[in-house]
Amino acid sequence: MSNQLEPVIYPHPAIDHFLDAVCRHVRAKKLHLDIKEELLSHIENVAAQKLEQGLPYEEAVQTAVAGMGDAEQIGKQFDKVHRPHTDWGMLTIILLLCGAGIISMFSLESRPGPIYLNFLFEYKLILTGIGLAIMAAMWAFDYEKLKKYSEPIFASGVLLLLLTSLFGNKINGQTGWFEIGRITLYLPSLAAILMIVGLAGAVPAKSWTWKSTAVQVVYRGLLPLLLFIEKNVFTWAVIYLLVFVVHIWMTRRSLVQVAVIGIGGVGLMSGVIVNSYYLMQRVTAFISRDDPAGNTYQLSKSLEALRSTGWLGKGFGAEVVLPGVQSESVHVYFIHSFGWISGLSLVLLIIVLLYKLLVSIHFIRDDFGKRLYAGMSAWIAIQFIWPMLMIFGYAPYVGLEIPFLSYGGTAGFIQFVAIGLLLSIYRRRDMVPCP
Amino acid sequence: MNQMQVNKELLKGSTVTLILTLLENQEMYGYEIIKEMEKRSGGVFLFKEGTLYPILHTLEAESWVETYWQTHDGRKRKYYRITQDGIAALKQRKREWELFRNAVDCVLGEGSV
Repeated sequence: MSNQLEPVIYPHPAIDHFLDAVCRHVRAKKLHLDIKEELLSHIENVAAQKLEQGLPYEEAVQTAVAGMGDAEQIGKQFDKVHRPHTDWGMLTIILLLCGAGIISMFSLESRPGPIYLNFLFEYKLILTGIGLAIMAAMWAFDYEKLKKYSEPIFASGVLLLLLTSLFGNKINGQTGWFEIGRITLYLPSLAAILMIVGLAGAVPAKSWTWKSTAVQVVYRGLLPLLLFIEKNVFTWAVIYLLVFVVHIWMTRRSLVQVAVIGIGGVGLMSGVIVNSYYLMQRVTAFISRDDPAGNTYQLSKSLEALRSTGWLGKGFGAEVVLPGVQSESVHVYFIHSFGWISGLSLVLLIIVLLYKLLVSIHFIRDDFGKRLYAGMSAWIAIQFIWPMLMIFGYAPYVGLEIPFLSYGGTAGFIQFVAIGLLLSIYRRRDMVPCP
Repeated sequence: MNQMQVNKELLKGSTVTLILTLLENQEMYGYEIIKEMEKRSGGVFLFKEGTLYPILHTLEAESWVETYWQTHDGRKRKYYRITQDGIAALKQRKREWELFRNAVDCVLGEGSV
């Protein structure tokens, strides 16, 4: 009796009919198998019990299926749980930032300024339009398909950095630009996002052995960092390091593992800075605020522009001398023109966005999606936080621009791609089976 | 009393609390949850069995429970395990229920202050 196997219930057409009727109403196709198996298991249990009570097979199955209830109602309830989600908050924030960017460019173009700023508004409109279209396409795209290709995606990021060293153009001491006809691409930011997406599908840190720890840390940590540093692209080295540590954190075995790798990375970067005359100078200038080489010229201009305005700002088309006025200082111009109230609103908007990113990670249960979401969130967060801090002198002044607000360029398009992917992950958060 | 069917709306509101309470004691699969609920309520809590599963999936979407598959005697079972979030949610719901029950008792005149 005790060694008897459970009686065979399935297959039976009535069961299939019921399961199909349920799943017909569930839009999340990837969950159909999961739902069917779970319901089948229940029906089999009930039918087996009926058989034991002496009911004939046919009757047992029919009773079990009937006991489940209305297939359509159950299917619709399943669909409600596993429906696609739209992150309206995120969409609103991105559109507001784009709007603020477009207004800033219009204001910049309207002032009697240098001729090269003449078509800013028109170009910004076009770039934003294309960007939003790319974002929508990524939003519709099923991010899970990237998982299979995460190794080649990561490798192509590394390869791009290697190729940049060979073929890239040098501007301001950095090797990073590549020209195709009239378009100039900034390759480090492109390489970074490829590696960040690739990282999400990499071997999780919790299953690293001693040997794979060495391989992973060298290939995914050290190599990219050194390639960025070799090109003098320190900002991106810092950003990549942060995302890499976030990746270790998300897939960690222990806090010690995160701490060791994190401290190692920070140590490496500090070593590089101390050994570089140029970087040391920038850091000293940043700390002492005293700068004979003129590295804090941009900061002093920025502080001046922020101080000289008021709650309501200087108004549309305000004139002000600011280096990088349409790029890394765009938010200074925005605050100068539209006032501290607009500036506070901007900061508030960014805080809400960062908070939303942090909260959303919690709700994504798919491992790959969660890692991708976390990595890209860290990458986006630093691009908002750093430029915001640097205009007040709380971070070194670098070439990072507030996403969507600034004129854009290579980094701008990549940011639209990233937001599209985040929306895609959020949309499918309840539509993917759990491991 | 056992023959009486409980009002559907009342049952709907408390199903989540009942499920979480059962899962607080041990990890269970769907069929087990239904049987246990029937047994403990003396057969008062009877509902169409299929409707339990969307509710379980809702709990999972809320991160109140986690799931895993296990094979028993050649049959796959999906087990549900309560999470820290789920335990917190259950505490909250129990408090609400006690408040509600006391209020109803008071109005009905069987006050137990």
